[in-house]
Amino acid sequence: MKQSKGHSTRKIIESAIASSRTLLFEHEADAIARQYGINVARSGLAREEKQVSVIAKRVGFPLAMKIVSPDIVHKSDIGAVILNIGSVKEAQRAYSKILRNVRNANSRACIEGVLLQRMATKGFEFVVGAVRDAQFGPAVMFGLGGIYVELFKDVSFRLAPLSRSEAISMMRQTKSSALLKGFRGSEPLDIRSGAETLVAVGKLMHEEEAIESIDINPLFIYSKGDLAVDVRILLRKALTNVESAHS
Amino acid sequence: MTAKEELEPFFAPKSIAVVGASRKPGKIGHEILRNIKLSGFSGNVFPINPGAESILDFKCYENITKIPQRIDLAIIVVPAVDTEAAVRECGEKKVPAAIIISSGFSEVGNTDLERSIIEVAQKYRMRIIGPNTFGIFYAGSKMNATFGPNYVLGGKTAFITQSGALGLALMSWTTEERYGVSAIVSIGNKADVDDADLVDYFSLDESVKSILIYMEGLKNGRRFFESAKRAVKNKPIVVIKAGSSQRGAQAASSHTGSIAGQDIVFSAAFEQAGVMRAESMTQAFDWIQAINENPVPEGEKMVIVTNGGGIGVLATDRCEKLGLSLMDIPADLKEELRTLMPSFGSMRNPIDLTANADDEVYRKMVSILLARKDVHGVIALFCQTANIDPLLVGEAIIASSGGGKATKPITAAMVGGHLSQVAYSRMLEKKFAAYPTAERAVDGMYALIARRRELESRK
Repeated sequence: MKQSKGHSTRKIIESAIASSRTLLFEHEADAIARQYGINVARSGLAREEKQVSVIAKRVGFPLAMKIVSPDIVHKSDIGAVILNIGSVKEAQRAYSKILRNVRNANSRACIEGVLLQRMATKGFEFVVGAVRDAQFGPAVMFGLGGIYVELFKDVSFRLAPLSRSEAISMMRQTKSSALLKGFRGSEPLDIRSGAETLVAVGKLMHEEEAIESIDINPLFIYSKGDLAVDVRILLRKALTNVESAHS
Repeated sequence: MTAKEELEPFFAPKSIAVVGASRKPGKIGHEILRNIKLSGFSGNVFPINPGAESILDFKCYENITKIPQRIDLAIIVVPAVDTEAAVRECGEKKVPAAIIISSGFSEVGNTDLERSIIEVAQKYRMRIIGPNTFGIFYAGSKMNATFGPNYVLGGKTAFITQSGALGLALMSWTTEERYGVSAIVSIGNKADVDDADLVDYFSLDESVKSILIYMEGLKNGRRFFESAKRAVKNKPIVVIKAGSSQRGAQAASSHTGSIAGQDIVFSAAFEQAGVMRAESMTQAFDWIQAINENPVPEGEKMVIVTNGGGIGVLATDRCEKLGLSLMDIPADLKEELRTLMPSFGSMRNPIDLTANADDEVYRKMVSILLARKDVHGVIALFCQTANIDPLLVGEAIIASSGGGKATKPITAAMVGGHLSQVAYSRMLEKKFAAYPTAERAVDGMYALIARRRELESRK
């Protein structure tokens, strides 16, 4: 992806640490995920209005736009997310509208830009995550995704790094694996593609010790391929709060 | 030095010094010395007590450095405040291994003292088990260096316990329940030697067939994971991990110095390493017993024989829950069995011999099944009836399965009153995996199949 050129994973992490951010911006998390070979929805960050048309054409339609700001948590509540944008014109209008809505909600919000993201074809929703356990180090999670992750807790874990066969075995361990095999006449899903994503997440956790946790929710798995729609990467607090730890 | 060589002095010492030995029966410093003496340890034993001439006929020394020969293992029983000096003296004497029985360290928040003791030990390249332990039993050296019960039944399992009380309880069980052990290690606060070190050691110890661990927490989970993953290639590891509930986890962290980790990650790590996690003490021992007394099955086709429909159904339910497959009885086998059974018996699996089946029927039935190529294991169930002697049935099952030298796995349940219980414990004494209920006999077989699956997955 052009967007990630020159943005090495380490550089992104270092710049976040330098500005005391623990949660990476969406475009940063996407760029890291892409570098590890994870299929991420096409996206680009517009920092000013005149970039919108070029990025929109590159990303493709329909697309979604949302504010990228460390100060705005509940984006949809204040109208900082607009979906189903079908043309450059609509994208340009959406850009101004999002900025206006954000300023109205919080005039002092620090704004990084507006993210344009290709809207994904809906697939079965899974979740892929990773944590850094105090005793066992990095561990990867797979399970049923979407908004019910916490409710059903249909997940399995493995320590990272993990092999592809370990990834497949952890996928098969969940109840949702019935979906992977093809449930009630639907086509079987691309378990190998999902497994590659798990292996990549494990590799990222293993190599980048500054990362505290990763959440990909949802990860759409299709009959061919998969797509990470929302990637969240959280850094370890100790690294960004050195001063407060000493006080 | 390899890990094996480094820990050797703990298990096969030629000489032991008990630092803080006491003349008074009932004192820990006396009981340990007494246990070492009574267990038949053949090496030299030196009590350290500046005020006594001799204790239990062993000549006393006022200081470990005064002993005129090399000491392999020191057992330190002095109060916490005096341990650092004791460890230093052991270091001066070049003792390679010490067990610190004394308590009053990280388990009560005294982490600094614990750390400084380990620093002293490391300076002298001495390995430490403890502090806050009840000691070590090792059958191979006839060494009971604990303050627990004196007599411990020897066996094939190395038991590593983070709980002192539980380990002491188990020492009594070994005699009561016929669970033999090759080693018991009370690991205490794990300030130096930890689960991973012991797993490394026991995986290479030929007197050990299986490793059982009672664990509350780990200080370095990743290291345990790596050690366990390696060891499971050679022998099965069963872990009882306490603190799976939220409340349990809190109790565990206040109980010892270590913090119980997130349970879900523990489970994942165990599974990935091939460690079997038991849900209860009973299940752990049921598994261990089956594993110790049986070969790993060559396949998963199991047959249940029973003299009662009820226990047959219970066993079948349990099989299904655990994912064990009962084979369909082939026609030629049915033909072979017909002569042994009344016409109203069931030839389906479970094979129901009906209530009239006596020891002779069991003997023939089990022999025929074990001789078949397509049968990989047998679960024999017996329900006590009015006219059949459980003792004879128990003996018949053992005899027909090779008298403890089975080439295929077999477990049995002897269900009933007093006579069945006697039959069951006699079978245990003869190193046969017998159980008092049908479900537990299935659990035992499950452990063997799980072991087979683990080994297959590594091929």
